[in-house]
Amino acid sequence: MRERIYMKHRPLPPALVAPSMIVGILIIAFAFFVAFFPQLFTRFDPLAVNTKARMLSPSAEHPFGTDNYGRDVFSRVVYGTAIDLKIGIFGMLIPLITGTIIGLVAGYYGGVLDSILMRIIDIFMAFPFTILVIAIMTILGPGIQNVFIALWFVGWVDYAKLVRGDTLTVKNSEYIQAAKVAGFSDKRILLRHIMPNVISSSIVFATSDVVLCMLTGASMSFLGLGVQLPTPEWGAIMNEGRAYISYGWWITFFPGLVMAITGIGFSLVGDSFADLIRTKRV
Amino acid sequence: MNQLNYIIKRILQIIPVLFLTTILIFVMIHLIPGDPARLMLGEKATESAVAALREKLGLNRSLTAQYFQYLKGLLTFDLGTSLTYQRPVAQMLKERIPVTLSLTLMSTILSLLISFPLGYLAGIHKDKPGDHVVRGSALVAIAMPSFWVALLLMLLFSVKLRWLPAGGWGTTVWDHIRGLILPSLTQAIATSAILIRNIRNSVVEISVMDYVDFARSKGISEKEVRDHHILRNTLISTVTLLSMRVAYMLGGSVILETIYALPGIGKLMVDSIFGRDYVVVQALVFLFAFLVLVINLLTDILYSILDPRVRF
Amino acid sequence: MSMEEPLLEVKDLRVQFVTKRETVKAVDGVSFFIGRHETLGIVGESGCGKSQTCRAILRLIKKPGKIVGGQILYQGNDIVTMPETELRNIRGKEISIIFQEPMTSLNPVISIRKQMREAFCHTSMTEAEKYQASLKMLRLVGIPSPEERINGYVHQFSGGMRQRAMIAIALCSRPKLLIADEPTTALDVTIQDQVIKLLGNLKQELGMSIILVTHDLGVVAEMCDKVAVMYAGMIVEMTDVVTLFAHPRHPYTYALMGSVPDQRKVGSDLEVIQGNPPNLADLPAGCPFAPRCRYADGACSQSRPELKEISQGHLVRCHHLDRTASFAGIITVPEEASDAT
Repeated sequence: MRERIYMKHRPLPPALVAPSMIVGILIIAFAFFVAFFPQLFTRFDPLAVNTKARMLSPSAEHPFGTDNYGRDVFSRVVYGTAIDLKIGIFGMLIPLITGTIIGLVAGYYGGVLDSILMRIIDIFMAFPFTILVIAIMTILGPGIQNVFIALWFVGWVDYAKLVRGDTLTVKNSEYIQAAKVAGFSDKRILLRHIMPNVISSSIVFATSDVVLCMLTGASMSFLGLGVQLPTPEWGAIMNEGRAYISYGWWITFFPGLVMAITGIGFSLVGDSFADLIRTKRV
Repeated sequence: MNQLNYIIKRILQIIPVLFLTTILIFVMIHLIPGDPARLMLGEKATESAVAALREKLGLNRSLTAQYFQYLKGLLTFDLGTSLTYQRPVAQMLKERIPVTLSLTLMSTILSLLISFPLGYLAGIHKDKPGDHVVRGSALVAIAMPSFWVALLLMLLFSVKLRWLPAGGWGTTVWDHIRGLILPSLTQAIATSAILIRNIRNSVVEISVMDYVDFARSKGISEKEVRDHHILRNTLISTVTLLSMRVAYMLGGSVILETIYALPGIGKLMVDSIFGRDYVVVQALVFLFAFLVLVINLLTDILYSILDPRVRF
Repeated sequence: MSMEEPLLEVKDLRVQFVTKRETVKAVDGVSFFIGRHETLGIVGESGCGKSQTCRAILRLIKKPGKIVGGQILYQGNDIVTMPETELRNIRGKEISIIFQEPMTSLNPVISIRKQMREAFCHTSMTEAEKYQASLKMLRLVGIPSPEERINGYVHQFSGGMRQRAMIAIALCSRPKLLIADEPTTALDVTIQDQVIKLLGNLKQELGMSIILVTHDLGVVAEMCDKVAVMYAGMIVEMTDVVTLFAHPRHPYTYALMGSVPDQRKVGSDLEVIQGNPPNLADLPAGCPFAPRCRYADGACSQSRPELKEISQGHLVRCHHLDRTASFAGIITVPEEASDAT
């Protein structure tokens, strides 16, 4: 049986073009742009030491000032954008995919598979997120690669839980039963019928997860466990600035500000998307 | 009687999870590269000394035997001796737990004091300017890194205004409290940002429920309708939300205690990781899981007191 | 019928729900009156505006709905414009309302006792007196062992008992008018019967008027003195109950009666009203029932018919009363008995 999908030309729903969504998308797009083309924004080398220009407060030449090595903080922040975005996006992406698959399968097939998953979820939920990540970093050692591994190891659980719950709800609805009666294979039902319906809450969660991953990555770097010096990751820069907080506040202030704004961008998109789904469902 | 059954049931549910966490922790610790005995004695120790210590620690026995040894230690509160401090771990924990718990407690109270009034009022005055301001602020606050906020608060209140100490625990109770204000405020800001949104949505949802209209139809004042029905029902859902955040707050202690130099288990964790003191790390990871489970249990019990539907 | 002043008079009530996308005219010019000890039934399909009419009487319309026109006169005072303080004196004390679904109409986390206590807000009783009066009310509505039940919660009650509890709460301050918005729709058939009988008894004992909203014609026949049939936010026929069943004159009323399963027509198809319920955001010009009406013609879709009094107390909204004169009702009455009320 061949199915045809007719694409109708429909106007965009109002929620999609809500101001908050647009602002969010603009912020994210700008961040990506900076990440890909840092050279366009600064001429300073983020690693270049300049002992004559130490601890300068913000000026036209150095919008974010310089640090104790004379490095231009603005360029460090600019070059750090790629790193932090990577942590956020990839830290979220792998768990999103693995967690969704596991949640779908466990929710759909139930039985022993599901019980095991539930127990695993219980165990993971018993640990504070940060603690678990730190524990894994302890085993693996410091470094940005290990930050990713730690995030992947811990992150999938939230998605699995979410998707499993939604799958259970959807599994028993009539149109799924109709599909089964029609003889569709399990794989087809899972991919074409169940997944599109359960994925929306995952996507909403994913936007806040990006923020969480960025914050966690930065926290690890802040503690000295993540990115290693002198790589300019926002959390690492803030850690460097910590010792000079009283007379060099700019080193810590600006990376945090930039991080907050980027996080706000993702949150705005996530919130608008959540509103969009909510109104559609009702 | 029902309530007692519920409590017992919940306690029984925790035990298997605790067991499984010990297995997870045990496995994780044994994945750490390096020989524990050598790490304890240092580079200069002789081979025979290391071998003797290995024997003493039971490191030559099978993994299962070692696991049961570990389990036995946990159950008898013998958590080993710290490599760096050369003191019984259990004793160190006993000294430091109160610090972290006080921090978490104060953070919880502050979070409630900040988020509930704001979230409630935002919900009651839905779509008015105040609502937008509150929600916008919460949105901004969620994205701010906690250590950034911590350092800025420190800059403002300790360095510039000199109202509060930049950290430290001090000796007297008053010192303790003063030392906790900034860290718990930092934590409370982060937690409130998340709670405010949920509380506000709760209030909005409850406000349009039929039972609110029915209450109005009796002729009671609008204030009574709000206080008896909307406020109360929102409070109940807030308690559950707060309990979920306590686990995060415990995790946040790691960063906050480090920044503010508080002698709690969070700081101990970081110090031990850098000092490669795996005995302590192992004990701490378990402790954190244990605390989370206990706090969840307590919150469930609290919830069953507040919400009659759970009890019966 | 009594010649005295009506208890409640609704004049040209209009309720609209205004959103960015559309304006829904939920109630579009409804007028009726109800006297003391009278029971008025309001029937119609879902979405015809009967619930909103009821809520409007106590100004309990949920946002974004608003009363945009008309008057609701209670003992001469207009509820629509009166200040909040006066309105509170009417709510619960003069007029009470019970909703369709007691599970959602009672607060799930507060005891029944506390919720009943609220209903005594108009009296100056002491706590002890309120407690005793609450027990008495629970007994009155037929809830066994009220002393034990009163400290319980909604979810511990069965469906029928919940409805009784809600009725008890609504009647605590002895209102003169009870508005019952589909009180039996959410209940099992056997329980429905009990609740209807309960309402009948209470009506006698407490001497109150009732506005009974329902889509069940059987209930109407049993309980009501007067009936209003609503469609698309307006009344299309209103008369005493006997006349309604004996001589319906509006095509919609006739169709409603025809769609009730009838033992005499065993074996033939169930009659349904063809077409779809009207979209209250986008009503066609002319008679709202025209698209589904068997007797409609071009004139019907041009102008909206007015409510006309075709005989004593019988109002109908239709352009072609000549075509409907021959409707056979469900019952037949000897001519003399039709003015026995």
